[in-house]
Amino acid sequence: MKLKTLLLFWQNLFCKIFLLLCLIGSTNKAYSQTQTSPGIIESFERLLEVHNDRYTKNKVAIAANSKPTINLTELKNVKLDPKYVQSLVMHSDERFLKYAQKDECKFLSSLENSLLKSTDPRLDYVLIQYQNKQNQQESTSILKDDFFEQIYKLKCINNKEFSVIFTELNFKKTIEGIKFSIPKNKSECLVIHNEWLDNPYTPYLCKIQQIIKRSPLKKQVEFYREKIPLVQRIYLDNLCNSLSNPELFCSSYLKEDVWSKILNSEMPEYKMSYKCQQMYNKKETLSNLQLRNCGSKLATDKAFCETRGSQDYPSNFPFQNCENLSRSLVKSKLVTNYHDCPGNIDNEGLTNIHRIINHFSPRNIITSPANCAGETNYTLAKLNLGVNFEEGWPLKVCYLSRVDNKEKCETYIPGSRPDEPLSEDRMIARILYQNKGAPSKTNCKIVDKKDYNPLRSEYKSGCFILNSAENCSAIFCEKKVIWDTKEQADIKFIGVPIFDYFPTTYKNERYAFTNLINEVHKTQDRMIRNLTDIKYFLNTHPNGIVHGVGCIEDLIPEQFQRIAINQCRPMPFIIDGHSLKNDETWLVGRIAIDDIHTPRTLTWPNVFNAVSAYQELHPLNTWTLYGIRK
Amino acid sequence: MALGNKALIIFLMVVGISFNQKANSKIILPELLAKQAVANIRFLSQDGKFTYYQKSSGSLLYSSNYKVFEMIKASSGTQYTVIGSSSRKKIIVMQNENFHTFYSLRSREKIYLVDFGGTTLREIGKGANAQLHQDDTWMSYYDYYSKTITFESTANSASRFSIKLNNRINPYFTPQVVMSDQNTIFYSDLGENGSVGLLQYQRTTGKSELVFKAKTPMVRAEICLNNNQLIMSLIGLNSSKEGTSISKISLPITKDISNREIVYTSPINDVGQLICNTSNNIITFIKNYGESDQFITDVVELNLLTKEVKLLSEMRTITSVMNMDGTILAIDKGKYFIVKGNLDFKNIDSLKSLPPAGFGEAIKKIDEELNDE
Repeated sequence: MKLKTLLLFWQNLFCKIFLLLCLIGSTNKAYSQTQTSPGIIESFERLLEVHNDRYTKNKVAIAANSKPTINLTELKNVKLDPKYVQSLVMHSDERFLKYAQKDECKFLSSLENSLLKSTDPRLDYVLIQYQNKQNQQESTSILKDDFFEQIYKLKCINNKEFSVIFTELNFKKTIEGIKFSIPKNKSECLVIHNEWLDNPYTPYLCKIQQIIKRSPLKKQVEFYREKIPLVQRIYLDNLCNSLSNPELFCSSYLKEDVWSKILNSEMPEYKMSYKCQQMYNKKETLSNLQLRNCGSKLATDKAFCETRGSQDYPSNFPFQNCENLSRSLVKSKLVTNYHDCPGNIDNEGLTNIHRIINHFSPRNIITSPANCAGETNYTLAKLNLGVNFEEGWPLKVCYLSRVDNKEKCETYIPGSRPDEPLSEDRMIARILYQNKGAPSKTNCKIVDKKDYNPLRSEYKSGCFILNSAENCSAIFCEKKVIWDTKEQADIKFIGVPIFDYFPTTYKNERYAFTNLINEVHKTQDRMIRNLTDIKYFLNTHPNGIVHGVGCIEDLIPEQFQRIAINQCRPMPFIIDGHSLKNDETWLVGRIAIDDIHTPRTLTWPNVFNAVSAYQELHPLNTWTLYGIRK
Repeated sequence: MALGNKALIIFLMVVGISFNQKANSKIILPELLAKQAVANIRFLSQDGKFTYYQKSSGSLLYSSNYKVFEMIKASSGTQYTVIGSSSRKKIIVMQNENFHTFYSLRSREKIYLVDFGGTTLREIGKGANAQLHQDDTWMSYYDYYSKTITFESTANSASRFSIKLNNRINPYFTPQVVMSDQNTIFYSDLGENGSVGLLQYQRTTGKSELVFKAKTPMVRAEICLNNNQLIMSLIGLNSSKEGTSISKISLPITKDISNREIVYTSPINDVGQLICNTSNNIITFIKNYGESDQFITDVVELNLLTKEVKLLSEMRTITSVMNMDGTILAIDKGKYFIVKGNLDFKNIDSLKSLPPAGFGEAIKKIDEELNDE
């Protein structure tokens, strides 16, 4: 067959077109500036117009010569119709042309997978030319499937096999066997890109990528989306969009910023998504496009992160700039698939505990400004109530029992949780039902005092738990229960969850958080004494993090000042990474009042000073810095 | 005999260290050492005549001339903070009963007032960041939840007023508060965008006026009084490129502080922690000799007239500096060092000052052996 010569023809043709364009361009220069002369794009458009016209005429002529069945082996000197090839060159994307020109089999597989397109992109025929019995060149059309069925029997036999392994039936297994290598440096990246150019699977993979991106057939798109993991989908996007451009391919992987890594699925999306949602003031989850836009904003506007990203979730302010944040997030290991609100929690220990437990045993946390404090309380309540340690969760709602006319108290967990019988709203509803004759299906709503107005119809009936978001948080709060506009004065909320983070007495050692978590969540911990130890622990244990308690005046002295000897405000913190900058090791972490999605860098002297100062004041003189892992 | 040898060794070590000090011209600060654990001390008077200290049992005690008096008895684990002023007339005592079991930056601690060197406490209220003003005739404290600064006369508890902050952006923001005369209060607050502002409150009108607003939220402000001047530092936060500036403003302020005189600038973000009440025209703070994101910190003294900066320590990692009854103390690696002060060590029974390199341990050992003998 003449397909080899056909390729040569195509290459020559490409050069010709280029030369033709250059020629047109240079001729234009000869004309006077005042003349309306076609620019290079206009000339190209004209060329396409001429080409399309000729191609259409050719197609009509070929259609007239169409045969019901064609056997390629019976024809002499078969090759692709030159005008058809010209059309493929004109209309195909350059990224796929580069791949197709590598060899004949790659050209055929690119054509088979519809990566090469003619004037009519939906054409199901391949136009071929052959020598007729009168030794004249004649063109005809052949069904695409027929053409490849026959041609693969004659050449590029492997392509037939590839078609089979990439059918819907088999491709999942095939794709599982393909290695999607992520480069670590530029030279490695160029090698990887070159390997993809040599890889015969590439057009089959890019066909799937094109289907996912462009196909109107939703069912087919969903099929592939379900079967191919996000990381590989993003990899394929990058590969197929930059098949002819190794620099472009590598740029995505060699960017050091966390935002690019997240968008490439090298890092979990939650490191950016919650922040972006807040930055753009969106209530709903961001679309891929919105996330990409946010990522590019964070990568280019350093100051954007300093004041945005935590609007509805109060925490320490201002935040780190985007560059520092990116550097920290790249190294940060903590699982943070939720947004908490330290500013709505009185006890900073509670925020730290919530973060540690959900690192080792992540649960589905509902992220909303109304629920964030409740979720944090829920974590500690479950930890204590899980081992029947009621002292560790002493929050109770007390009421006058109608049965024996005595005060009774029930354990509750602040906030609203439909799935938790101990949640504040469900507990109050139950008390009203059992003691006050409220309907069994009474629902209690937790509302802010300033929003409650009994004159408004929505508050005229039903149960409301009033608290003041401005003056109190979930625990230090004078709450009122209103049922059908009447205050239920006998219902009182008592108790404050005071607990040992690290044991303060030998007697209650078991119920200190550091021991409870090991018992309930099967974690293991060990004391960390120096910087080498922190680095070793974090490097050795993939899910290991370091947590501790230190005086905030030493952790961030630039923000919190000590004005008296031995003054200390103990602050729990988590260290979950380390990095090297200017030959100095920086620890990546969050103090409990920091926004969960805004880790900061800490220096070892600050951490050491903070823990040392707290140790001096600790009843058991405990060194409060521990590595913890599962 | 053995004791004599030890004394000789210590003497030689002292000489050795002194020699080294001169050779390198390195500032070596004496560590604050006491017969009882330094961690228990809450206040040492400059003349060494009395000490407030606490026990792990939860009591606050007063000791003077070998007499000890229990001022407050509370549950185990209670933490006390004792705050004085340069006027030396009153002392504030803050009590946190859940110090180890309820870690809260914003906790409402019990606040008491006691005469300087006295033992009779008067409960004032609950809050944080308590301080004395105007020759100890007034005190103030802050409540993070209601965002209110409360002022109360130390002579008459009925004489009180409060200022409500606007800050809605940072739940942990602690206002800087200065009372420059019986009628005027300067305090810091955060604006809608999180930028710090300096406001002047007049008791006579009950109104606050903005006298300064930072251009960016990435700056924090500290204020203090020195020689009837308002001193204000502006320091960049979180590795920002804002740097540091310290300015002095003559009082009273008529309109704004645009005509303030800048007495110190640095392109690097310093730590700050201004101490303004030790001597006229001298302030102390922690300077950063590293980078805005790579701190090397030491205590310096700034002369407000000559604008000269004098280095007072060479420890590189100092995180706190404070004024305890005229003695400037710095903390490094959990230990307290005397930066400046007129402590007369010979007369202070409970206090010893020695260079840090292992001397504390040596003295403790000798003390133990002496006790054994």
